[in-house]
Amino acid sequence: MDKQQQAYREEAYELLAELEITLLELEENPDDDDLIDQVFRAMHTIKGSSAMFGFDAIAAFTHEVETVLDLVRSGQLAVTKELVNLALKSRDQIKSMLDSPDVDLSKNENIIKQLKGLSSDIKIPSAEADEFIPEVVSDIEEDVSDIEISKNPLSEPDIDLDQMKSETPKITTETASTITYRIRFTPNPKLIIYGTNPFQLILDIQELGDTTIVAQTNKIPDLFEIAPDHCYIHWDIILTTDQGIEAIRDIFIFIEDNCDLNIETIDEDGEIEFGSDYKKLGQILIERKDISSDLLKQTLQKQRRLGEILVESHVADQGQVESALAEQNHIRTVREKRAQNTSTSSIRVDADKLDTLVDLVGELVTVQATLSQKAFSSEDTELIGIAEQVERLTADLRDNTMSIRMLPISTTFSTFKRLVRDLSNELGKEVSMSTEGGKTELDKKVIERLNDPMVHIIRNCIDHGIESPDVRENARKSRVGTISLVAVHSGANVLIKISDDGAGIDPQKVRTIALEKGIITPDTELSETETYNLLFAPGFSTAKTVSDISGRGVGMDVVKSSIEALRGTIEIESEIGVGTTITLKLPLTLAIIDGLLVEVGKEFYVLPLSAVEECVELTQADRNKSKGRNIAWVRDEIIPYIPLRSLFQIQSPPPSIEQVVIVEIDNALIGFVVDSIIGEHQTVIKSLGRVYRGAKEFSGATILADGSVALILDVHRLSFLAETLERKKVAN
Amino acid sequence: MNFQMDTSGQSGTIFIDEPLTIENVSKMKTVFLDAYNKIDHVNIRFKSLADIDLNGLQLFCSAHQTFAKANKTMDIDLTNASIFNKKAKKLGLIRHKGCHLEASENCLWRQKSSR
Repeated sequence: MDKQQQAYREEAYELLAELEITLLELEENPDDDDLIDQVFRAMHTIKGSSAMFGFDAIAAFTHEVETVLDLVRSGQLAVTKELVNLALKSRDQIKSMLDSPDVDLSKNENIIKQLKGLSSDIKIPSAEADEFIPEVVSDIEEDVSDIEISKNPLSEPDIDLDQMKSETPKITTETASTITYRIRFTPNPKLIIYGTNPFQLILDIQELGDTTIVAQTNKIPDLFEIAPDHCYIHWDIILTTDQGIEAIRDIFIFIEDNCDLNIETIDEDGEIEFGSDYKKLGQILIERKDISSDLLKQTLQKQRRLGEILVESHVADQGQVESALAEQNHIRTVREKRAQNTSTSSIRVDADKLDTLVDLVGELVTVQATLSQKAFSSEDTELIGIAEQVERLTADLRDNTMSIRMLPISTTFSTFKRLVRDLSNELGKEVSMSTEGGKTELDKKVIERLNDPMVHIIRNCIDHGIESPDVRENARKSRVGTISLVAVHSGANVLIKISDDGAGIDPQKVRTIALEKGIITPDTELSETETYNLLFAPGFSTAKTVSDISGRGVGMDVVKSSIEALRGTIEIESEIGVGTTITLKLPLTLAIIDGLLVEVGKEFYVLPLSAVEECVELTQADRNKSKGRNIAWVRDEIIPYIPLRSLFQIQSPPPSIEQVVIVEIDNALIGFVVDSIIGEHQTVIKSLGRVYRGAKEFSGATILADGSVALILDVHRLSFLAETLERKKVAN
Repeated sequence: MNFQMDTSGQSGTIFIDEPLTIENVSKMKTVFLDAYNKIDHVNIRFKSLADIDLNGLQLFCSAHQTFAKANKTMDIDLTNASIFNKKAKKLGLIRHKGCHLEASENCLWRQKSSR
């Protein structure tokens, strides 16, 4: 696949993602014309670019879907749940066709058949209406046939792929230079009788770019005088387009003698006047020759809102003022957009290249640490100065590079809306989803690996949490359940809270099942949090029946391991009848972390600094006090600890004073005993080779300034390992 | 389409069940005039509105202005006629302020109206 085709696919995937979001919004706001236009434009762009890059099957299918969507756009077909369902199905099918060229195309026909079924009741304009259009305009009819909605839109589509290929996808227009035109179009009142429908011309202009259209109605006579087949309206149109003035004139080419057409350029790219300010209202009206400058000056003296004064003074009518204000507003918007595009211009970069850049920066951080160490040991002040500069630059480079890979979490939040919609429909429940903090950024890799665990949690919320509408009503709750996704920063971490307002989790029920499954014994005493944590035990399930959605007893343990693999944590809070909140705590990035470098034996290890609460000394006197048990007394609080020396089976004698690094795991404090603490360390994470694949207690490795390797400890798994070993020891 | 007077004789309702496109506007004009000549307040109800074109919208504007100038009122219920506003918007008829004939700013095309 060549680069252009690859670029097409990437853009098509983005458009499909946007299309899904827009369709879901449209389902909630079926009368929103802007959303309907967005859906149509996305489909239209996919069609055009698919044909251009040789994806003819997609182009043909999209053309058919677009034909039906055009009926929606023109108001002939209403937005219904069924229509949105089919549009989403179409979107999924296009995605499947993009994913694999060998996809089953028979589905296309089925979807199209259903879409056409929705529009089968639409009254097609009668033959008389077609006959009304005189032969004079037959040429124009050909030109506008593509958007002529009064023609039979449900006839077999006449797909001209060559024509489609000539359509420029709209995605390219954002980067092209644009010009804004002021068009005043006054048709001959008998234009319609001569066979041209001005409505079609207005639609044609809209196809050229962004438009603001104001119809002037002040010439419409009263009922006694109006000739119903005449046209009394004239239009002021502001058009921003990348097309030249000739493209506009071409639209009117066949009616030049039957209209007054005035086209002026009022704004274009590259003008020095680049701010969002535009001409004052009076200036526009004078330019248009709607008023004279003298009258304006006289009127201005009255010191009231100019538009009101002009209308009240009968200097300009309401329509003229409305039109001038619309122009002012249009140009402001165009200029603001242009300024925004200039300041946020971006380029598309292959994700692999970014990964390579991050790796290289990681290497640089390591080399810089070596340089600093050598420089300080040499006591050469000049070299130390250089090393310090390199250190500063490296830190800036690292931060900048890491920020490039950061993505807003809304990129993943938006995909769940569809999941909630489809799943709630499937289960006969009514569920709405809200999101907050979508702008919170996380490393791209964290976001990618977060998707599956979150899908599972949300599925559980809908399947087990949210009650059916009738049950909710009986419980005096709204029939519609709510799932909310909230993301917030918390130091070097991001907290993602997934909450539902469902039935909540019954701790007693959890305990009973855990007993039945032998996960706990009858004498096991558990706090509420510990009871909820049983849900993460392998094989646990509270569902009475196994469904396709969840309840197979696998999943939450996998969710927990997935989150922990991201060096994150997961917590459950719940209240019966009120709902459940699952909180994921995730690191901002997976590539470089702030670590605490420690020494055990002759080896170095890194603990994630974000988990470290404090460090305390452990002397022989402390050991004596605890009478052989692995506990430390910290400010009268008992902290259990794990001696890493014995866990790693290091034989050499420990130092007389050891250090306990206290970390927080699942809301509990646990210490790790090490020989000494070296200090904070910028840890560039390297994955472990095959030899260490089985050693899950290490989440990676890092290279130290002297070139030696330090293993990064996974504190969750280490504590789990220590607990398991302790249980075995007690059992024996 | 047809016009029915209420028993009060002061108001009436025009029922529309066909497209308001150029081929029907003359008939529509006659119905509007009939209503204008007989009553002070007219309700417009749509059984369905499959289509409306420039001439249809223009005629509505004319009728609305004519009623307003004679201090008569017109109430349009756009149930079953979502296409009405969609087409009006496409043609640039929807606006923020009313036309100059209506000091009361009760213009047919005012955006803030529920239409």
